[in-house]
Amino acid sequence: MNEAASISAFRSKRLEQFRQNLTTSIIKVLEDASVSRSSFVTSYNVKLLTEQFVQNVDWPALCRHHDELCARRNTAGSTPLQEICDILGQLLPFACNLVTIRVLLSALLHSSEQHKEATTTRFLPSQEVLQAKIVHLLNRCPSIPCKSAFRGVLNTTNLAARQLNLLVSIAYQLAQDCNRYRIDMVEVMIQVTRLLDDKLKESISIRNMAAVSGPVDRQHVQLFQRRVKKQRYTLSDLHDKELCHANSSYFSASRFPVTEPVVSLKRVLQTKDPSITNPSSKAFDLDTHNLTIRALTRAYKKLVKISASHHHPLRIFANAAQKHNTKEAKLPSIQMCGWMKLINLQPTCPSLRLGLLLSASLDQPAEIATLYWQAYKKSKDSIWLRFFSEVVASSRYFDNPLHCWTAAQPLWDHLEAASTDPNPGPVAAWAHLLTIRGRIWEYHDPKEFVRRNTICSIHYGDAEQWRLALPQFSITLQKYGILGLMELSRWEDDHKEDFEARDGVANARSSEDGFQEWPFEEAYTIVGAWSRLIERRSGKAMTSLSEEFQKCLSSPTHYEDFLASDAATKGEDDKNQAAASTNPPLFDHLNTDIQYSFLGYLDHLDLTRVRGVCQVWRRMVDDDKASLWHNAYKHRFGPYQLEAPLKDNDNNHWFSLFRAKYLMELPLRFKRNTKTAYRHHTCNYIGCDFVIKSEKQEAQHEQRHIRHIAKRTEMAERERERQRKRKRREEEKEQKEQERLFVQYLKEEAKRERNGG
Amino acid sequence: MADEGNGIIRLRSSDGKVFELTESAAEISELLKDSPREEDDEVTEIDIVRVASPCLEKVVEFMKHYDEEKMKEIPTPLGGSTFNEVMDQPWYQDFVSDEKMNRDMLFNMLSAANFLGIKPLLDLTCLKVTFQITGKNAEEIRELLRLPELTPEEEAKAREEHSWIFEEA
Repeated sequence: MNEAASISAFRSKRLEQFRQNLTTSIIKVLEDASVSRSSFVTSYNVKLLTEQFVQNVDWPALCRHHDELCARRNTAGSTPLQEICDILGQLLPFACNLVTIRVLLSALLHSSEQHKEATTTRFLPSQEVLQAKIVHLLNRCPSIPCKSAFRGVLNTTNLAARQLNLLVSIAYQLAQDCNRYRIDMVEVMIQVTRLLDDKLKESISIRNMAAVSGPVDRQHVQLFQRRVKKQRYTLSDLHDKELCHANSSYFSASRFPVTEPVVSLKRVLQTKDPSITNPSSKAFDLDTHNLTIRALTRAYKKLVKISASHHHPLRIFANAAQKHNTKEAKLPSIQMCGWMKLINLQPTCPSLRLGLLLSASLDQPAEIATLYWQAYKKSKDSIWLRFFSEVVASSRYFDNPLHCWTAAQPLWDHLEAASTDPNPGPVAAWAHLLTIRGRIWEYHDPKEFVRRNTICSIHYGDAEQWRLALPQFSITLQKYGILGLMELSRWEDDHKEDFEARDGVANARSSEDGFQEWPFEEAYTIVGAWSRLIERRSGKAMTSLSEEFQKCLSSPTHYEDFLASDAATKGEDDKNQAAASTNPPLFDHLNTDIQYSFLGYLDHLDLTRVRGVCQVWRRMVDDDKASLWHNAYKHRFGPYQLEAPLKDNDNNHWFSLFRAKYLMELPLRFKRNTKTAYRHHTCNYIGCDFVIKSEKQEAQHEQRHIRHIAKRTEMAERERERQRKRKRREEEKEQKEQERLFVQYLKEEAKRERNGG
Repeated sequence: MADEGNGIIRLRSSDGKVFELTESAAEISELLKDSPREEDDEVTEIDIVRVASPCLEKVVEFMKHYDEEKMKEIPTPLGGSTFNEVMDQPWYQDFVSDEKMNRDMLFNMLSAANFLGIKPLLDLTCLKVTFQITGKNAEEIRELLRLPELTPEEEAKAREEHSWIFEEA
């Protein structure tokens, strides 16, 4: 591994050969670290795998090499660091993305070892590469638990104060670049604080704390402050990217000991401009007509500077700009051109945040949405999609269905064509919109809405399956979308004839080259959805699909084989594939329904044994809706009776009922009536734990239940009667009121006539 | 036009072999029943692309026999502790017996029955699988289904959660 990933290997070989060698060695590491390979789940020893990649690749050297190349402005072609990052990201299967992130994180932390003397507050180029990779992975796979990635890094490595600082900065940066729910900064800070108890109390810079925590997390900040020795710090060593609106308000709100009122943003901010202290001065009268890119950059930098001292700098700016443009017939077009330039200037860097702030401050949501969409089309960076969907979902302007429909139209057109974009981002954005705006669309144009919804569900496959696959991660964009789809799934039942549209989209999807680069779960669900569709129709539709896709359809694990064979031909490693094809697990062929039908015959003992066989069966046995335990109950205790319908709560799940009854019956197993040899048992009514010891007693007890039921029905009847009466009384009252009003009206009418006459 | 129930249906397997059966025999299959027919054709050909010929042969054998002797419905809870006690019709016992059908074939039949929508065959094969699983522990089942092993921790966890049953066993 070490040899294959070294810089010398990169230099001595051609790029393709380097890639091949690296791929082979990564596959070997993967094989060594795999714990079990069932048809549904391949599980790996995460810790072992992480260690393998961290120790056997010389990350510091790679980073140093990358930085040197960048310093010499020698950026043509890819560096070994980029190559390795790419291959790691592509090759490790879906389940191992957590490993990739941990590896990249620890590489990040060790990347700066050579730069101890460097006090720069900017990230090194190599660090930026690694970060970008992590962000890419996080955006691609919404189910990765970031918390555990950070926890893993914090626990395993022995970190110095500088590295802790760096880690917090990285976490902050990631939180900015990804969905903010993904990385829990508070959690990271708490973990860092815990480490602080033992060592490094004084050396960690408090600036991180300030930069990281918004006003909401103030109690954690206080906790942190108590532990760290109180010092006075300047804010001048903040990362450029850490300067934002939220932080500045935090500084002023929490009375943090700040020595400089204005943050210095390196050289630009060092020039003291008196005008910035007064927001209404001429500095804000920016002429957007003739702005060059350079001027725009400067404007942006000024803005950032102000954002440290004012709460709503952009609003001020926007007001100023509006004021300036009042002479124009229409404000946005020209201004938007300017902003567009600005955004194009740095498609991945701080202008992003500017964009967000802009959308919050400027009162032009429709134009902003268009802008974001165009930015996505240009840069293919899904962060723009997030902005787009967030603006359309949150801005009040889009409460109007027509506006909303128009704004989302380009996204939909893109989705429907969908032949060139392997990125699942657009679908996620669409799903997000569906969740928030679904209701409005539903009323606006139901038919169109249903059509789009069904096509979207094809992209996702079966929503229920997604829910089962990712129970533990509650807040991801995809999940949002899925929940939205599930909520609206009733529409689908009424419109099952819409097969033609589905065919079109699925064909486009399957024939595209990028299909194999999809995260496994998404691809799998699409395959699942398709096979269900096919089953509903005759087998003839199969011919219209591409060959690879047919393979995927015939068995879910073929998709894995398909990927494995691809990797194997690259790495010239056929052993695994051969073994898999001669001896596949048997229930590969079977879909869930069949498995349920033969598990349905099992009794409680076999159910418990079967539960230990594999994860899939465990889920099936535990699923209360499948009623496997209901069957087992009937199997073991015979028919049962109910006093009232079962309510839906945890204690009424069939497993719990079975267990309770089983434990009650356990001591009675061998007890019999000495005279009549009547076997002791508990009552047949569910929830009743009365022990019956003779036939007579059984009859008496039964009578008691019957009386209860009668009483219950009587009470229910009485309640119903009471309600009926109440309703009648209300109706009568209403009628009287109406009559009274009518009489009054007649009187008034008569009076008016008399007066008129 | 063919008389109702007297037409011939030809099924073509994935590897190209053709099997014939009467329309009345094919009626137990939901898929074949609903498949489109030309009005004046006596013989209808249907491609069954998901089923290979050895498996389809057995399926057709089952359908033909079912047309002559119907299979009794399988009661739940099962009325016996062995396969032969539950299924008392000798032909059906013999049809899925271990000598005539290996495990791979059994599972292929299961998915074929599901695909073609033949409920009696699905029930029969499910019952057979059930009795292959019954009484075996997780390890043996895994071996039977050729699944990879669980780690000791996973195994221990599964046992711990249901220890109240294993105490008795």
